[in-house]
Amino acid sequence: MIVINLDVMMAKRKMSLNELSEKVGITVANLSVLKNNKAKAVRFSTLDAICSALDCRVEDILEYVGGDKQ
Amino acid sequence: MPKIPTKVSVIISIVFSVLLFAFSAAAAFMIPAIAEIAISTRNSVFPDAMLGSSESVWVIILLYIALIVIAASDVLMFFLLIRVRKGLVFTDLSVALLRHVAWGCFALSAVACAMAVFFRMSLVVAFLAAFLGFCLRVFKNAVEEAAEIKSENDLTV
Repeated sequence: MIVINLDVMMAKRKMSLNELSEKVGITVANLSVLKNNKAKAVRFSTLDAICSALDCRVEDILEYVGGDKQ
Repeated sequence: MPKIPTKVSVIISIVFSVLLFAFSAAAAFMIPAIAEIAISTRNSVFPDAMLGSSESVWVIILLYIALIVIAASDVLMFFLLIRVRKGLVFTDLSVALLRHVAWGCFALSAVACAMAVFFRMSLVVAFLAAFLGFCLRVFKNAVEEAAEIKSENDLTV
């Protein structure tokens, strides 16, 4: 399964959810859905905006966790 | 024929649902008379195989069971129409409501099959009820798929 490490990167960049929401242009509610691994799909444009706002790479946000590692 | 606006159409459906329930409640008091008319008509057509009082009791029981199933299905459809009005169509609860109404149609078909012991024509009602139940099941499958697609769309960030 794909795990979202958004909270880790937000902590590293010392950015709150509200700040990230304003920079990315997505509502806090949708960012919460993403942060809590409730999202079923992510648009490339959203990933692009998040990586740009947090100055990080895609693999810093998305991580694949195989079945044996869960 | 001009197209009726969606909201007005839903309200019309809700009104029909309420009227059907009121009719079902009124029919509950008329079933013994209806059964008597049906049995006397059948006895006049088939004098060699007349139905007695014991059979008439079974006819009344089956009619009441059918009426309960129809009233229960009507209530479920009413709840579904309320959800349609609120814009909550493609949800698991709506799918469950459709599933139960479909099973109500199959139950009605079974009651009509039982009634066929006394009135052969009720086999037509049984077939129509089963066909309606099948149509509702197909529609339920479509709504279930739409609910899945909507859920995925709603949770796309």
